Amino acid sequence: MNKPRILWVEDSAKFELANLLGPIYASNKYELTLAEDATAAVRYLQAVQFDVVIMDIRIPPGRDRYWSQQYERAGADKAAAQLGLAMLSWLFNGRNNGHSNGKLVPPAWVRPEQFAVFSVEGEFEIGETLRQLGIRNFVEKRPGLLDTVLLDLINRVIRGRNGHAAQP
Amino acid sequence: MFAEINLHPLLQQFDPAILPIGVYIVTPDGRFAFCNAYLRRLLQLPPEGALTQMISDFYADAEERPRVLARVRQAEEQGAFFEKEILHFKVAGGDMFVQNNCRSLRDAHTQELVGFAGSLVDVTQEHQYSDMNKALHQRIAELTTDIGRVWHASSSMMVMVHQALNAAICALGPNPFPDEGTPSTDEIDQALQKPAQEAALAIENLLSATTAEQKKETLSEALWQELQDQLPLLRDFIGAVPIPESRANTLRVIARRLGEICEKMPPRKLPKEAVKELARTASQLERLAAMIAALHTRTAVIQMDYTMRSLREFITSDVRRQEKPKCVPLISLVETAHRQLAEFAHSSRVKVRCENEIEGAAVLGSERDLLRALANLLHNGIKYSWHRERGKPPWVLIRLFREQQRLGVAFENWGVAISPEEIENKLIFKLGYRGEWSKDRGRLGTGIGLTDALDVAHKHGGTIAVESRPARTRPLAPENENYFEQPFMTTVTIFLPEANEGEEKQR
Repeated sequence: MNKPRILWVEDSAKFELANLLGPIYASNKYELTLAEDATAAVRYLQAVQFDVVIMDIRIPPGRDRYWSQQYERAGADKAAAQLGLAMLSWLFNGRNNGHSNGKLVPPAWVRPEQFAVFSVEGEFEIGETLRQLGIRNFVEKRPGLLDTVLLDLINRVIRGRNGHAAQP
Repeated sequence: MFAEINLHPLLQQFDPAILPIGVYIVTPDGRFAFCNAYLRRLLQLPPEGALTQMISDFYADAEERPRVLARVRQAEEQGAFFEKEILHFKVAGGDMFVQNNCRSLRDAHTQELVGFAGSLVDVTQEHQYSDMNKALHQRIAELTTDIGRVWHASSSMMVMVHQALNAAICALGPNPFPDEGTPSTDEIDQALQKPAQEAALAIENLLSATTAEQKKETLSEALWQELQDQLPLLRDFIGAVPIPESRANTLRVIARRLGEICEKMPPRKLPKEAVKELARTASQLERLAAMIAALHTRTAVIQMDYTMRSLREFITSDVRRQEKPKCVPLISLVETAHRQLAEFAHSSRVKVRCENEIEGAAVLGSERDLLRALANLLHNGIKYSWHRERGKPPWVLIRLFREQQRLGVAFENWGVAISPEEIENKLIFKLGYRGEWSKDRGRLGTGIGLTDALDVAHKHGGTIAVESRPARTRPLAPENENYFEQPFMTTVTIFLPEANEGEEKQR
């Protein structure tokens, strides 16, 4: 049987957060793909139908001009660019807000229940936006988390997709 | 003379009513005796005719006028005028700030006070900007104080973390890696092979030495299956975990789990030696994987410590007491920067070499700022160096030279590329910008170092030049999609004017 496909969009996945990958590989339950910037994430999202996508909010743009311009527009405070949110907005509202031109057409398979957000932003910062996008699974990065936090989040999204209620 | 001739008729008929500022004369109790058109518009008074309003009607604080008059008299006693005082007015319910210049009017014979004459200018907008400016300065002062405290606490915490990691690394020893620095991914893979294979063998031995009856009696079927399931990953962890940085931790998680399963095995019901061997090999694997994590974290702490210090220096550089410019031998600045970053270079296993062609040459300026600029460039050189093939250590070459009456300090390294676009468009000098290719292999960074270094160079009459080109003799062509993933030779050179003898004294 094919393993569920997971995409983790996270620029710190190979260093500060590398420990979180251990439990996923050790579980042997999932096929994991890593995207370290917006350009790579879009490339994967357009090429592969994932079962779960875990998204960071502060991600670099990569080489694509569209995301680079979004990033540049944020001015000096690059954290304010919140390209992860921009990407979610593109994925779920892109057809309505002019983003779906040229190669930046959002893939048809994406559904909010397949997505979770794992970021340093707090509930008060992005909670409302995520609710508006229909994303119910969200974990804030902080030091006290277990190294199984990412695995748990993936399991939670899978359970939610299979009809179980998502846990807060 | 020309102006006098032309203006003479105008001066004869001069009317202060036409002046483009508010002009007034009021009686001692504040009634308007004269109010020009500009002031009438400003205070929303009738455009013509006698006025019933008093100037005190416009004071936001009724108590303020007596205080103003007292100051007018005080100025008069000192032979001066009451000048440039900002008054808070209320006009049609709204706030207005006016600049008031005022003097007393006295009877020429009796010297009795007959009124006050003055001018008013609307400075509401300037006043608001001034308030915002004050608030901004207050905020900057708070932030710079705050960052000092945060930095102090974080430095102490970094020391604590570093020492705890040292203790943990010692306790987890012996260290299989050649020195104390962070091992490369190849070295890590190699070091993990033996304990991973031993753990796999121990699982196989236990499974084969245990009868079906014993299995049923001791652990659940799921746990025996879990042991079996770990074999492929232990045997080929490089193939199973495509991200090299995650291999050690994946094996650590598996080893921990093997240890937990061993603890669940009831005593004397399974082959003792096989259980013991599995527990031992799992523990060995977990120990090594934990040591690798600790080595990585220690390097990250050292790297972050400099980044934090540098950030603090950058933020507070304009609020610190400015030091007097002095002549400093360039080599001594470079040596100090090298000493400051020796631990980071060591933990990153980067060799730093120095070639000095300008013995005794000095630069004039702020020692602290120049040192920070040089240290920032060296820090980047170390951070963006790659481990070379065939075990050659990465290196940074610092070269001090003289070129057209300028002094140059070039930091040359072999590793991460900087694209021509990033250099030509000066993107790498933008605050907060991190090089497009700089984020590989988990480098921490803030994108401040190069901006700050260029700023320091400019303040000292210098500049920074950057060059980055493929390092191999037969490089990939620029059209190749992996072009920027090959090693590049990058040289960042800071140019500074050479200080002349006696220049410091002249200043």
